[in-house]
Amino acid sequence: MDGIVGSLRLGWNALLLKEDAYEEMRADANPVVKGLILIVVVGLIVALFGLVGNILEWASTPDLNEIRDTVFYYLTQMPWWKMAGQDPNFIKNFDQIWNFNWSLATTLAPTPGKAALDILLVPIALVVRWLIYGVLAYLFARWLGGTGDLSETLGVLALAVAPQALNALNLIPFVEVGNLVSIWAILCAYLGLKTVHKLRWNRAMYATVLPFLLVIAAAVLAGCLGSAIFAILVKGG
Amino acid sequence: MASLLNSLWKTVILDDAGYQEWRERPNILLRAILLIIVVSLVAGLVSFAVNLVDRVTPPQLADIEEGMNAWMEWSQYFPFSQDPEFQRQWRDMTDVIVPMVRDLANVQAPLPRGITGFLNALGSWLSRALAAIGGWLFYGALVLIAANLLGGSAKLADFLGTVALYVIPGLLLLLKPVPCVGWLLALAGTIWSIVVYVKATSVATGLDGGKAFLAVILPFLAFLVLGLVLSALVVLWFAILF
Repeated sequence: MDGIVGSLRLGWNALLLKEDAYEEMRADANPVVKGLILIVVVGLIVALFGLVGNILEWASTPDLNEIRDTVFYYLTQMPWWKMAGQDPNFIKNFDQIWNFNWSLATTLAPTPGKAALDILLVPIALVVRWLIYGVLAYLFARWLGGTGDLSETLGVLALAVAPQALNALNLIPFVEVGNLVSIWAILCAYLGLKTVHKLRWNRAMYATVLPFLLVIAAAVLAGCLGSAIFAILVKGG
Repeated sequence: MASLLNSLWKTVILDDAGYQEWRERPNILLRAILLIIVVSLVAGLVSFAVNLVDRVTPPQLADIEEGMNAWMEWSQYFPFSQDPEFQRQWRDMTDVIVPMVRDLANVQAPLPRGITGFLNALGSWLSRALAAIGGWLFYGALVLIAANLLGGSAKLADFLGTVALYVIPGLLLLLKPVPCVGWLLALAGTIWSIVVYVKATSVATGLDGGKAFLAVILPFLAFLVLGLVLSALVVLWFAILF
């Protein structure tokens, strides 16, 4: 219990960007274990609050199937539909797009079942993200002249999960936390890397953002490749 | 409390002593967060009230019809709106859209309209405050990078805590709905916020006024250039492909 309380206290101080918190985590005998406890506890709290918020949001949302049927009925009454509807291909294509979009909307809509599943998925996702980002940030920090080891790096980067606690505000339906969590987490990660690896501000900044840039570069490359393949298919050559 | 309000007032009138007093108080980042939340919520009170009334009352069909007619009148400046066929189709559309909105408004959620409307309005109101915190952290971090490049220095928490004072003149946004002068007061509040931001940057980083101003606008300029370059690259890429 002391371990959980201690981890949460450390997480709170890390959230307030207090450098002592990162130093304390670095000096801990088991920074990885302490970090893992923090991540799992934060993940569970966020998912539980999210479950309540999702149930309220679901209960506040009108029946999507009824909305779909109402909109469709009136669409077919509109003047442009009567003109375009004379072409059977139009009706067929419209039906396909219409059904696809609505099935997407119903899939993405909040349901208590999906929120309950998050109790399992949120902590796992946080741990996986922490490990991947932690290893990449460690490699970049060492490359930039950092002196910390991997367990210390993972320990302080676990503190960067602390802003995820803000997702507990999803308890109130329709609240959009938006990019706040990501921005705050990046600032926490910067302080953590700067403290553990004893880097200057600019090198710590590079070590913090380079893992993200690597992922963005990979995504842009994939996008370019995808659009090139699409263009070849469209041109037929 | 009185001394805190006094310090805050001094910062608004750009008195150095006010900034020092604010920085010397404990837990600067927590205070900054609370300040932003309180100011954002107060500045958003009017829109919260309007939003709440909008969401708990059923839509007025006459208003929708009036809105569509107003759009038709406004669109008379475009050549297509002179076409009698377009005008006839627009009238037919109005005849369909008005009952559609009425029927959609009658689709029930499991909770009563009053509660769902309140939760919706509350969610939007709180989201604005959270967005304000996100914007403050994001832009603040970029300004600190610029300040460092210009020779200044500050600890992250101390810097963010000091520049958070920029939100106070934003309270003038509360007067935005005042007829005639409301928009002017809101504009004055925005400009005043920028001035407080520059002053706070100067105090926190040790830069002079000119460099602090440069540090504050550099991220904005960088985004502008980046946006233009990226847009040009995307257009170029698709021009090459298609």
